[in-house]
Amino acid sequence: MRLLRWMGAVAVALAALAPSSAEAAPCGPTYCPSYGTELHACPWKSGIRCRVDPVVKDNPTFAELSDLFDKIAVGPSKYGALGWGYSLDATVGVAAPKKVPVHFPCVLLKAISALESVGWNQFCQPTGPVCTGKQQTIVACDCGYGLMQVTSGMNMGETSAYDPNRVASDAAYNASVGSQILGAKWNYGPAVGDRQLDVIEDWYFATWAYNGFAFSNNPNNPAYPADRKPYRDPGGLSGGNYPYQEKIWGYVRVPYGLKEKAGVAGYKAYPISFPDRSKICASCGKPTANIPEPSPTHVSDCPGSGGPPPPAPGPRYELSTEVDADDRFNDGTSKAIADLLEGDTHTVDLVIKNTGDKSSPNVSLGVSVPDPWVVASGFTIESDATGKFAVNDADARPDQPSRTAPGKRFTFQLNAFAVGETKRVRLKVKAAQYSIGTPDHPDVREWVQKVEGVYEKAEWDTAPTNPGGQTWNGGDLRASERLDVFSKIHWSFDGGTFEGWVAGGAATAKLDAKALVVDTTGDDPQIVGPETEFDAATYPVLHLRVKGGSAGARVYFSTKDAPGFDEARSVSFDLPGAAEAREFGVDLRSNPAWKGTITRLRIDPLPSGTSTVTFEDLRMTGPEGLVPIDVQASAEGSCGCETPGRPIASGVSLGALGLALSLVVRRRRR
Amino acid sequence: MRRPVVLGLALVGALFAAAPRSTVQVARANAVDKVPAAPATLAVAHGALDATTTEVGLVTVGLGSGTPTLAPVGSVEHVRGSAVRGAVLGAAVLVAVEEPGPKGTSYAGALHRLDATGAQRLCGGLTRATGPLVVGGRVLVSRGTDGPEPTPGPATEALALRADALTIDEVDPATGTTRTLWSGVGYQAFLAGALGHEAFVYLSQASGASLFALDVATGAVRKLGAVAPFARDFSVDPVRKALVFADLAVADRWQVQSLDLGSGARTVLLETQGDHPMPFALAGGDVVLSSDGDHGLLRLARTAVVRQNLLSPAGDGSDAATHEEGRWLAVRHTPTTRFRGSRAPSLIVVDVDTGQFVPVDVPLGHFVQSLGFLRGGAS
Repeated sequence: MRLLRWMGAVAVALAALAPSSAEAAPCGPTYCPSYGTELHACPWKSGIRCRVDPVVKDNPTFAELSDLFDKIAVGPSKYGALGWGYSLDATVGVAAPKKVPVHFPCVLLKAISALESVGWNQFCQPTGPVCTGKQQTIVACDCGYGLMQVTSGMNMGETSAYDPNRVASDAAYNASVGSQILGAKWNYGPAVGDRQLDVIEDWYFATWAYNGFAFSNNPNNPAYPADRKPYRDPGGLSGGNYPYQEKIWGYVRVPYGLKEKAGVAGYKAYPISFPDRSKICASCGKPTANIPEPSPTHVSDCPGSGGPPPPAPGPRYELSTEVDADDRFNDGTSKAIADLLEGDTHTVDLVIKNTGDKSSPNVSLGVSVPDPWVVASGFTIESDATGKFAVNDADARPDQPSRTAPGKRFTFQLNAFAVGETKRVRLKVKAAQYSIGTPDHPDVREWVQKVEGVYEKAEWDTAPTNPGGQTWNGGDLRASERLDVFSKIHWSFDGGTFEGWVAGGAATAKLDAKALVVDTTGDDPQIVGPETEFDAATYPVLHLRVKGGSAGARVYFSTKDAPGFDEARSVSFDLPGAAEAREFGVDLRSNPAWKGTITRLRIDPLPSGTSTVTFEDLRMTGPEGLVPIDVQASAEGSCGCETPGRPIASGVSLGALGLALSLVVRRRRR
Repeated sequence: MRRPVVLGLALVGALFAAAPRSTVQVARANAVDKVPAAPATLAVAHGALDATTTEVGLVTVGLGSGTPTLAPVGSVEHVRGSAVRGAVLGAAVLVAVEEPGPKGTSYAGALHRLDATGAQRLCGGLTRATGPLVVGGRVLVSRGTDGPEPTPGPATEALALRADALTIDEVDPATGTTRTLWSGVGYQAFLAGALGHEAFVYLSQASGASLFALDVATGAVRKLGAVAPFARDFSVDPVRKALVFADLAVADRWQVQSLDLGSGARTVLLETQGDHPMPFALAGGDVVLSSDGDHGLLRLARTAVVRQNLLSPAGDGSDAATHEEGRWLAVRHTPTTRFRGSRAPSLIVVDVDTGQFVPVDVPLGHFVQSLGFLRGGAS
């Protein structure tokens, strides 16, 4: 049986096929074809008749449809007369496979319908071929019906084991037919991991096959960009750049409604994982094989779908944190930790949701901020009670912490929570001090401090009292956001991260004993710094603590007005060559191009050759950072003939030299 | 079937007519050329994410320090969220988009031609998310017909993918008439690049993946040998007459490889920790790729000593297109940090010799895709 993919807006076909006589009634505002038993043509085929006519009916509400999908997801053995009573056992397990009655992660059915019917449409106001002005069954040109765009058996003359009239007229029945088609794909696709029905990730191949087990849905298809971000995630592309199952994954990760801002609440999101593409080999000289379980996996917890048992009645809390910063330096000890840059301001969301079935009395939320690295400077308390986040009454309570300087450890009063309500404290923080090299990553912490009669936990590291039977995180209601504060002008290499520096040319770089060790082996070795932003006039000196090397080093810089590296924007200097570290400064003002905003640095330890240079510390300083040891900076335009008018600057200025005399000349590393 | 396309005809004509030949030489490996790259004109597609219309425009880079202006050419309608691919043929822009098709089809792509004289839908049946390949003035496309859905076997048995009827067809850019140059059965025949009178096809089948050269005049096939089934991001190094691509030849390690188009011998240029090196060969033979960790584009010089130069900004670059004279490289740039206030992919055009780049502005929230440079320079 073939199912059923929504091809999107068939705008051209509709425009061509819509009879002018139908213009009297208003057409729907969004794509909603509604074909029937009348003969019609599609752009790729003519002479098509669908099996039954569309039914005039109002579409169920979003909440009703969400509930409907939950009920259908339990499978035909449990939903009774609500849908099609098909019989299908699913194979679970790989090492010791067995058959069980099929059921589904409800979010998967919701996601498939969101894509197939462009947002849960069983009925909508037609955009053609005849605009009636009333809501009726959405029937695509290829006779795809309703929520799940069921096409199999829905062309005139075809037969089916299910009732085609209910496919058109009954949203739950339509969803159940779609679920049967998906379930059948589960049984003959390759296995993901241990092949468990409740694990959303394990439906990867079945979802692929729902749209056709074709190479065009192979995630390794070279027609799709290798670097595509997940569909619907920030930075994602249009759906045509993804195989079908990745689009469905997108609707699981970012539910329909949240992104569209269509006035619907969406459904529960699951940040489901993608399988390792390199394990999916469609043409390795053998059929597509089972693949390992991606990590982490997620279990859809819709009622009765086979997920975890429902919790005991009462308010239940789940906490999470999110910061508006990227994992800028995703290496070493900083891997998977959000990175801030010293001086920048960010927002840390401290989120708490009542996932229970009872409302909650006032919740006290304890918070600690890792001062001095990160300092809190304000907050707003919001709730999604109205369907989207807005400032909550709790924000105005007089017993909240200071608005401008909450301190290091403080408590928010969040008021009562309705069932399903999420509140978040949008904590404004400033990255105040470079944290690389500190024993632990600074973290912003939140914990439920007190819910009268339900839960109590005085501090982050004290044991909770839990008479209400909270289960999330083992009953310890706390969460944290680890942060690294990097610098725009200082790189110490003390924290087990390259801090954005990478080797290029005939050079390799490694971290060793809190230093960046660069081995050069040939032509044009270099290390390139991370993107940065600082004022050239404020920081005219590159101060180094370094050992090894020899004469002929050069520092390059790019500016906001002159991106990229060029010898015209470079200053030469000599490395000490000593076996022990020495400190000195390179005056970059000697090159007149050192002005404006500096955006990146590059250091070439030597023009070419074999050496080992150990950079223990790099930082930009004022003139005081100059140290007149046995090195002397000299500035050069690399090719004056091609940069006419550029003067050949002198080296270290006398003034700067004088300033530097008062500074430490040589210092052993701590 | 003709598709509705709106054209700014006069503007297009003026831009095409104004494009002079440039005098900048082909980029030299390891050279630091201080002469600014001559202006060049790039065809660009953009549109709202998951919309049903894509705009096509031209942008000329290298005229000054400001952000260049995108001059609209026309628009193409398609199914919601279609992939958009394209190429430049002389003074025309070829755009491939997806049009309505039967459920589950892999071949609902359609090719359109936009130029100063108007717009025309040339043909349908293109392989999903693929674009045209221009080979010596001829236009080639990958097309096919869906095969039967695989038949379920025992529950624990792995399943082969659907096998389709595949063709490589030449399209008459004036009439849309097609001529089949090659046909076969398999998963996909992907147009990987061209050199001289040959197109190079990456063929995926149940039995494995392979490359072959297709003479676009005679249809003669010359086998280049089997390659690993994860090859992607192909481009041609015209200096060494080699096909450069990424492949997962060793478990969990991506390599940038160069395949000699005469002997079929392969050379590993680079092994990387990243999973999307997306290499692209420049006209002078150097290779630009995305660095590990997306710190920026790397230029891999192909001289005696291999070296790498980082090009700004941080992030990666995909779907590259290069100007014939070698200096300008257009990539879709996906930043690792906010770039010009956004983390959304954008289009930048990089002067690969100096590292200077020019961002191409499109309306906020639009996707953007380069379709290729017009031949010659621009004023």
